[in-house]
Amino acid sequence: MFFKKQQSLAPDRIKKETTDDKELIPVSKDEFISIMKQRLQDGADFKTKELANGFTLVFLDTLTDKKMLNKDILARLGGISATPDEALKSITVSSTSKQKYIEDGVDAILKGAVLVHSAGYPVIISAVVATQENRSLTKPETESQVMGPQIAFNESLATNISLLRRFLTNANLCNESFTVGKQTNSAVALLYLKDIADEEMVDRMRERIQGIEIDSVMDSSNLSQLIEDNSMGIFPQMLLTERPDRACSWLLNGKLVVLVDGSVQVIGAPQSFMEFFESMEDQNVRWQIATFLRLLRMFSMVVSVFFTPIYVAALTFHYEIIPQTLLVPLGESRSRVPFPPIIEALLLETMIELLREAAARLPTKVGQTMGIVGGIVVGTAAVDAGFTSNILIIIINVSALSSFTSPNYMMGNVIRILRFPLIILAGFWGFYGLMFGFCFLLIHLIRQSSLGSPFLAPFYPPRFADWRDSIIRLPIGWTNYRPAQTRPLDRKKYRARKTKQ
Amino acid sequence: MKVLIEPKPQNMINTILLMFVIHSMQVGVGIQGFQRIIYMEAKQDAWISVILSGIAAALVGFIMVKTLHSYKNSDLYGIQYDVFGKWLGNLLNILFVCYFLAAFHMVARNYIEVIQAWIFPEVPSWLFFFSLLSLVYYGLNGGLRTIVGVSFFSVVLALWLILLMAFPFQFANWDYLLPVFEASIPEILMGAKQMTFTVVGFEIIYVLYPFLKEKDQVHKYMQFGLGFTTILYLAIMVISIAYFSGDQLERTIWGTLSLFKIVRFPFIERFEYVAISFWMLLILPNLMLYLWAATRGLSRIFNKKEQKVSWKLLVFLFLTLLYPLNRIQINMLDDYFAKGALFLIFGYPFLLFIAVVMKKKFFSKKGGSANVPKNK
Amino acid sequence: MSPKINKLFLVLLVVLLSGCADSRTLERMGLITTRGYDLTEDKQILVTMVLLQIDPEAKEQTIALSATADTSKGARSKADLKSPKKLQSGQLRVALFSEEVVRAGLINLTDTLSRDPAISDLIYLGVVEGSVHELLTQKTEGISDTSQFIYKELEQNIKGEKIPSSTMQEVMHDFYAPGVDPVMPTLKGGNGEITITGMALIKEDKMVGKINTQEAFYLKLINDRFEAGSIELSIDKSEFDIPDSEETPEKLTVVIDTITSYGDIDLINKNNLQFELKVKLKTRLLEINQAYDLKSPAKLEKLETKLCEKITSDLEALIEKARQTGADPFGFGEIYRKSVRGSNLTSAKWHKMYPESKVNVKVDLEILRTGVVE
Repeated sequence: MFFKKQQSLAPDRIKKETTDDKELIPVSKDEFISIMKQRLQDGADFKTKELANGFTLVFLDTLTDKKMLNKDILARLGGISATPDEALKSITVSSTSKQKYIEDGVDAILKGAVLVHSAGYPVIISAVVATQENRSLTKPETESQVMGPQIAFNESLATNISLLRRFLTNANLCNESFTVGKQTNSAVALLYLKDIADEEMVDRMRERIQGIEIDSVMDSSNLSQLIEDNSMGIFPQMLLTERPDRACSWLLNGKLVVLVDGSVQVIGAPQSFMEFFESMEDQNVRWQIATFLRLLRMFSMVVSVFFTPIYVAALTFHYEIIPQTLLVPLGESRSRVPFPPIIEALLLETMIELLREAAARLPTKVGQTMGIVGGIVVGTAAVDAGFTSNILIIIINVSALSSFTSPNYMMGNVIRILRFPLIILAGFWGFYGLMFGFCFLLIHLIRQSSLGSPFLAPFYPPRFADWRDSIIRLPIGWTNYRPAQTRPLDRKKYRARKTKQ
Repeated sequence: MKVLIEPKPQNMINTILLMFVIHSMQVGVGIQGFQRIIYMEAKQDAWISVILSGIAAALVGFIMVKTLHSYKNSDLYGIQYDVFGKWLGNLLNILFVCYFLAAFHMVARNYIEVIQAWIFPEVPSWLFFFSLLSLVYYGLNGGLRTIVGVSFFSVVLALWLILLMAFPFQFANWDYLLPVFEASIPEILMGAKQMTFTVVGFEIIYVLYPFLKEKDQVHKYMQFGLGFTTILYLAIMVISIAYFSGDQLERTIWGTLSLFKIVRFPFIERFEYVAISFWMLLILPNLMLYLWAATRGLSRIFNKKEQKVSWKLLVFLFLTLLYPLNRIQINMLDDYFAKGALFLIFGYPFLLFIAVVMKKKFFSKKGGSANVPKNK
Repeated sequence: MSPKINKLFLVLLVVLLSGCADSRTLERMGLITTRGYDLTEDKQILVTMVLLQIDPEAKEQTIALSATADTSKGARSKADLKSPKKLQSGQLRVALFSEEVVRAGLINLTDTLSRDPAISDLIYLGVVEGSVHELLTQKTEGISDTSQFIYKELEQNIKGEKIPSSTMQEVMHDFYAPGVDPVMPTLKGGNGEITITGMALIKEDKMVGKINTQEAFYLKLINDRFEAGSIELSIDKSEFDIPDSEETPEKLTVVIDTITSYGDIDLINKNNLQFELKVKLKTRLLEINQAYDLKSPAKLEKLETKLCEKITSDLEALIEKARQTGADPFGFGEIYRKSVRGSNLTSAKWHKMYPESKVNVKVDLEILRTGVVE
């Protein structure tokens, strides 16, 4: 493994629980073993080891590292007197603690600890010797880019935090830890930069995470839906990333980052609509290119959402607007199609979605074949059979292509879905319906907020200074302020560069 | 009723947005066809009428803000209540609520009339009204910030339409603006009077004022908004006079939309179809803000929650819109509305201002009232 | 979002989808691209409509339908009975009127066209010498789509600045303007060709005369400033010292190409209605049909003066010709209206005054270059 593993699991925020309903550790060895056995439902991997000098070791076989268990615990406990204090001194594992209650002992054992019980004492020692069954760090898959660091988060919370700390060597990086999920007890960490992140936002985020009552949190995407401002809306108000550099740049802009154990993506909030069109790569290329790319992505979103509906509206209701040069090719390609444009468009859109979904479920190599079969063979055949018009095929393909340009997978999904209601509206009401859909979306977007800050920032409310790094990106010397959206305590990132000379 | 208002901080809006609100409120359905009625009065000097109406609006806007400034943080309803007492004040408040509702009604009806005349003649109007009103409700439910957001975007996203005026430019014949000042002064003034329906909308400041953050900048942004509208109207008027010949303009009901008729791109022709649909975005802030103003009024007079009032008002408005009217009746209604607006918006504010000043003097002698006017 | 709003939107969706606007799907519409109007003997209107056939397997690209009725819309609904597709005029490009129709007055027909929101303001209007019906239904080899052919022909010549533009917007504009009369190009069919023969002079809404294409060029010269357009001028060669021989043509013919032109009309005398027309031309010489020494500045100047004289006399002739008919396509009335305060000019008033008006023509022609060789 590349990075050190034993990054501490955060200065735990002490959970204030009533101690009354907790069970004390029994003094007797057998009683302790039987209670633990019962608590862990007599699992097959539940192991006990009784030492000659009176220690009893209890652990889950599947969670512990045998080497460490032997070397750092068993070997050390051999020749000493069986008291908890002695054991604590002898064990050479970094993370050890004393536990008084059965519940705490169970918690610890589930996290890979060995419980050392000394006969005659109501206290046990827990020492973490957990195995780190992790994937090694790989390249980012969903947010791959040509330039910039080629590393992605993996499923281990500790590794992920260590990655962030590597990128951001800063004592101000606060790390708060939570446990979410009644059944899964997943570890969740909230990271932010003190002195930059807005206290109110941190409080809000903290409250939201603590306020969750749910069985399980399997993934960060899952969690983000629970802590969003409006989970009914179609636009995600918090973003996920698998890139440590992106998460770091969020932190540096005063945003909060939430990590979930077992999840390769981390949540960032607050986010704005424009964030969907920004890629980390924009910071790594020249500003002209970055600006062009951002405008291109913005344009492609518009094309992707509105191109097909405009086709449907124009062909169903507003044939007047078609220029004469396009009239004959459009008419001829439509003349053999038996369906009205709306059905035709919906049919083809669904087909594209089918292809995409199928390709996503198949192994990469088969997926490529799928693309060829679907795109070329079926497409050509559909036109030849007079099933669809070839112009619509072009339009649908262009809009599908455009929806892939979004650097954010979640946004790509939104764009895919948005098209369907708009096609239906356009098919029923022409441009009026299309405009109705557009106005609805606009109002919807204005109404959204992300962690209490406006979603459409910096456009509404207008913060003209922030436009320098949103839909366009100006030279790096000009973008030296953090966006106001996060209400950072410290607005200045760096001094404006003295250009030229 | 409390005279002074203390809005929650999350409902406050930046004063710079006032500029957009004022402009978007003024630009609505009136702009679609104001040229004709002005031209009928002032002929080729109609553009002078437009300037005059702009000056009048600026003056009234100034007086309105001045009136509001004399209170710490109050709106029209509170001021009238304070100045004229409970009964007369509330009567006037109801009158203004009725005015706002009427304005809503006129905007919605005129827009749907355009839609039916140009695009969908056979679709029943209740469907259009229903869809429009549901959008209004959705926006209204998001609170003032959402409404102001819609007006902001309606201005910004519609700016490109101005560029399309380059097309009628090619056909323009500037000789039609000559001779200047041929119309008599009464004719020009009559033309300016006819602008009422097109110019009104800025009275929303009466209700919006308490929600603005920086009160000392209200004057500035109010005048920016009004000025931008006047310039826009002036430009459209001048182009229309140059593009149409006299009698042709008098026959054209929706002059501005007819200007779009000749816009032609390689990929799209007959741009008025797009423009008319796009106009929905331009009238939405009108509808939302008028309804919001009426809702504010009623909820303040009767001490009800705003959300409960707005919902009922929408149903009421929907029912009134269902009543079928033909073009002539709509024009008549427009005229009545314009007459009412002329008095309420261009006359009454001066009266109110004088009343407020008198009251301030009167009470400062007596030793002040419970609602101390701000000493400036 | 509260559950209440969700319900509302569910209702909204259902309502919106339940009422669907009448669709006008492109391929099911009979798209009229050209309309022609003839007068029948019993004073009814014979409307000929050319439809675009957008069926790739059809033999003909267009079909022509015709119907007779009292009104043009009535004719359309009659023609609907003959058509497999619903007739729509949203793609109308050209409207043609027979000379007979225009002589009787065309405003009712054009008014109908401009009243219909589906019809563009940029359609071309034209006058056909003879029957429009015959022109539109004639089968001509090499022209697969007559309506498209006419449209392209008009567009090309108007864009190429050969003839004044005659879109509906401009015709209606001039019709409703008090001091200027509209013009429309005249077309003639036959011999497998469709030719633009000139322009029809229209007084109020009635055709009163005709000018040929050369005169149309002059008309454009007076009305617009423009960049392109070339003209052939023949002048008497007796004043030039060109060696005379049997083979050379009798007249000296020069083709000049206008680079820029500028026409300006001023009212010099209100009471006598005296106008001054100044035309400035910057040209280049394209062709000359006889050997002429273009190198010598004096000779070139002489040519310029002669050409000036020629153009002046041509312009005077044209103005005189128009005045005889009573039509004012030049817009002298507008100049009068704009220069005379309180004139309250109406079309009728102007047409009474117009025959008495006088025009001084001044032409200034300059040959900038004569080609790449000397």
